[in-house]
Amino acid sequence: MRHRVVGAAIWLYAAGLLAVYTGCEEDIAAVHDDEAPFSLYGYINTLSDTQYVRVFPIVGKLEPSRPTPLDAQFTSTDLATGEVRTWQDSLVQYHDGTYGHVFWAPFRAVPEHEYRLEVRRSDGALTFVEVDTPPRLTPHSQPQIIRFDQHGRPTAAVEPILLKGGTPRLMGLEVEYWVKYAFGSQYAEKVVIPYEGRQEAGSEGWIVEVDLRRDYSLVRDALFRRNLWTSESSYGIYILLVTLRTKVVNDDWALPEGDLDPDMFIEPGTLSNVVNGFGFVGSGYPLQRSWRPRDEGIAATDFTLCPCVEYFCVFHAACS
Amino acid sequence: MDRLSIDRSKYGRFIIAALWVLATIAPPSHAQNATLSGFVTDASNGQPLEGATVALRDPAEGDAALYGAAANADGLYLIRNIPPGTYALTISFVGYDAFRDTLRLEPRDILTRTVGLNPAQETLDEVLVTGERETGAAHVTAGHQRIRPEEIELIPSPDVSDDLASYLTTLPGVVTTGDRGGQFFVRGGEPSQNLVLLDGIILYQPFHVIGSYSAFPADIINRVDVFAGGYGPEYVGRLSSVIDVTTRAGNNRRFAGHASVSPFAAATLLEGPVIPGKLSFLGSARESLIDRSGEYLYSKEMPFHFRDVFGKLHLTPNQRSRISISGISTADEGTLVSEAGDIEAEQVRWKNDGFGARWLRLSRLLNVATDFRIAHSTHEMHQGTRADTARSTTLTNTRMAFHASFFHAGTVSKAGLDADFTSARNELGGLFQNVDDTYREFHSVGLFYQPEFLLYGLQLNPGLRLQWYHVRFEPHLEPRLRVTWNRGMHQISGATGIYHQEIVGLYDRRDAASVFTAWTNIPKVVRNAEDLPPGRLPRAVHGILGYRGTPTPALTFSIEGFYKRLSNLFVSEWTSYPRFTTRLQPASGRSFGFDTRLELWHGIFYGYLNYGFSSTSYSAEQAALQLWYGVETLRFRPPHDRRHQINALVSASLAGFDVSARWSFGSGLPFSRAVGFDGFILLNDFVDVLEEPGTHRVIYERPYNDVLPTYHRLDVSMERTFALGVADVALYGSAMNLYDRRNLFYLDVFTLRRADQLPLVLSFGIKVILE
Repeated sequence: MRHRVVGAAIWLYAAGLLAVYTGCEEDIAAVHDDEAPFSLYGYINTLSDTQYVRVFPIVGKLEPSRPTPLDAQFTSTDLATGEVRTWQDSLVQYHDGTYGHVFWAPFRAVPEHEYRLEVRRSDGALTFVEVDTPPRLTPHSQPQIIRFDQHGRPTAAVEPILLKGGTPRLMGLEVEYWVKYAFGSQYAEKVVIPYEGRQEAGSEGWIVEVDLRRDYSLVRDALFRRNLWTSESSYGIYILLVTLRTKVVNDDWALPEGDLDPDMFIEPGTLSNVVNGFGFVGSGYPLQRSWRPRDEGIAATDFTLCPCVEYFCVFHAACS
Repeated sequence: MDRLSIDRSKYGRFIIAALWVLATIAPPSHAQNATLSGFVTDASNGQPLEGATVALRDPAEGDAALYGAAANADGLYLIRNIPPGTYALTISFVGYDAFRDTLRLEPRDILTRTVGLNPAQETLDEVLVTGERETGAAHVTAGHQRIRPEEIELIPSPDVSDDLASYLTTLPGVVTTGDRGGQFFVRGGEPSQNLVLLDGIILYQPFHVIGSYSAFPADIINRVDVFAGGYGPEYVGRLSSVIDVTTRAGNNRRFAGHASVSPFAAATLLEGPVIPGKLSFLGSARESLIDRSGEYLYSKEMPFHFRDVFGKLHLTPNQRSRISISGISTADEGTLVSEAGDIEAEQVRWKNDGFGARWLRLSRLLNVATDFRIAHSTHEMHQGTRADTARSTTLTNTRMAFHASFFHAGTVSKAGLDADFTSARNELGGLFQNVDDTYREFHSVGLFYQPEFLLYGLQLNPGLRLQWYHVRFEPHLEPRLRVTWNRGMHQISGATGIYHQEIVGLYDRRDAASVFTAWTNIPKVVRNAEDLPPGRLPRAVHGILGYRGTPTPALTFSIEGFYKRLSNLFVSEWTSYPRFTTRLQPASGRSFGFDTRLELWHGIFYGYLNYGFSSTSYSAEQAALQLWYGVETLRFRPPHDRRHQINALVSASLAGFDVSARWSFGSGLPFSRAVGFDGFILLNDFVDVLEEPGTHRVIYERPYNDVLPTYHRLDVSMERTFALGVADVALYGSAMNLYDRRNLFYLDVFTLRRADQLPLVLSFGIKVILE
């Protein structure tokens, strides 16, 4: 009797398992989270009189983009003044044939203000992001600094640039050299040297020390890699112009140093400040200053002071 | 540990291995003794008779055999160390008239006796029923199961022409994608980790687009050796399993053939002697018809097409040699997802071509049988729309193998040398992806040795393989061990081994039940790829322990547990780009489970019930995982982790009809369910969103975070054969998916477009057999 009960229990258990696992469920439903309606990409440019933000709808299926209207209302609010603006939608066809919705508004953002951008669907689903704008910096050249070693030989020829107005995040800090480099050279060549992370905080703002002596070897190596540096280049490298360039951005715009792997950043949630949606909206503006270094500084480097080539410059004092 | 000590350790292992081989390869031999060897075949058709017994008796001593051997799968036998003298030779096999002769053996004689046994007509029927069966659904020994064509014929299929694919789907450790585009996952392994051989030819995608069919129609098969793990050192280059198909030789005495047709396929086979008793041929061809008949018969578009052609020449040049040449060509084409709106239909097509030659020879001077094989195969697969092949992969393989069997008293040691030359080319594009082209070559060479020991009923087969892979100069050591213990109705068996695989098959994780496989190799030393362990091959350690009991000749029960530890795996990168590339990310994994099988064969009834449990998990080890998911190691169920499987078969002969019913069940397979889709623009600069189009993006929660619906289906079939003068005619009817379950075949997780397996399909067929 006991064996029968145990046997019946085993059969019942097996039948139950079978029923559970062989259920009639056949469909695969989408689990698209309808509460997060949009992904936003763009930045507020405080130097521009018009702002643009790309809006992607978050959908349940991956389909080719189509030139269809987007159910979205885009507003921005200056949280410092309470001023509200409604942005316009524009349907853009890109060079690859795809379509996208870019919202825009004609206003100039105020530095050191915070803006709340809201994109609302007609059913009330809302995506928003709050973006603060960085302070306005102004570049100023500082007195040239030439450093020497104990034997009196120059070790650095520094052109300090003061970015006055605060120490917001800088992105893509670089120094660009326009140079002439070889005998018979008819054209100038551009060499860009990364200066990421080389700024130092001062009492009035960032100070970037452009070291001409250090940069000479980098410029020469760059020309060498382009197969432009030959034996005829003994003439030397002549600086036409130096430009310091950077983007002043808000603190949220934090990119890691080194090469950026798009495969890493494409993962949702990585570099994202959008609430109830995905994407990133930053703020900032470009900043640059160009100058030609003074001859005293150049003389302390391996750059040449001679502005011309061969016999055309025999009468030039700097070429003697 | 410094470099010097590492090198010492490596060379120390080599020295130990070499000493071990030397200690076992040369058994003691008595110089004056003789050797007897040869082949045993069926005299009526030339087929080898595996298991035929060869016995030498002293006529004065009565029936007690002094020396004996059993013929191997090629019908080959060898008895050595026979003292000179006069012996009565008896060669016998169940169902055949015994061969008897008297031999006079002189000192150092090496005699050859190749014998053809005649079938014993008057007892044949009885023998077929009562003879000892060495194969069957529950006859598994340490992961090894041998399949004969007559077992394949018991499985219901949509066609009168039986196929190995139908049988493989009933094995408890085998997970398939169903009745379309057959992908086989064996005990937690992936399809690309299975070594599939046809007469030594590697076939990369041998299963047809209709899952009930493969490149192996039952009527060309002699035997199939399926190793779900723990295979010996003669197999190399795969982590998971081996499906080794040996085709039969054509009839070398008379012509025979058959032709069949059903709504699914038409098939024909022809065989016969070219030089009677010496050279035979076998040719087989099949072509599917369902793409043409489906719409008329089932009012349903079935856009699947395949064909396969196989041919074999078998030569017996002398008593000591066998030479065979095989060739195969298969082609498949199918629509994965039909056209919908402005989205074009997506198609997949592939083909395999291969040929191979084998020379099996008994040495005239030594107690050795040598087996030389050379094979070449190519595989192409394409997927995309009709106008645009988005993805394609091409593989070419040439392999040469020289194996030798050393015969001792009751045991056989094996040794061999293999060389493998493989190249792969991939072009991976797609609707939402960039094209990634790669070309890779990866060659390898290796040697192995596997002695055999018999100790108190324990059969021990340790083995060792030294394999030089393309990825590094030093060889990889691959020790293997198979153990079997038999006593009465009980058998306990076990196997273990270390396995490596250089070629990696990558699947598109956007497609659940994806068919397309891109083949590539693991990276060599890549200095800047910190995530990837360069030069380390994917590696598996197998452990198998099983019990088989046969309480009565009609009942067999077996249970077998397995564990596989997988390391240095490479799987497709995680990325939210909706694309497929051969960029790799490292992973490790483990799989464990057990199979239970119950088989009953009684009178007119045959049936079995299999249940398999398996659990497989992978751990991805990518540096970016911390950023994405907040963990350093991401553990997930790979898409072939089917936890539960049940297969039940009932077959009986009733009133002249052979009736079969099969029910199969599989729990749901994991897949990565997308939360949604949006776009992505990398804002690493002041990007002008009016100019930059961005890219599509898939938003995952976690990889393989959900499971697909369960799979289950009932198939039934009925067949009756009529003798009509010179020909037999077989009529066949079947009902596949009898209760019309909507089983999933393919799901594009991006577009949620799905394709289902066969609905309820009634099929019928006719087969004309000429002997």
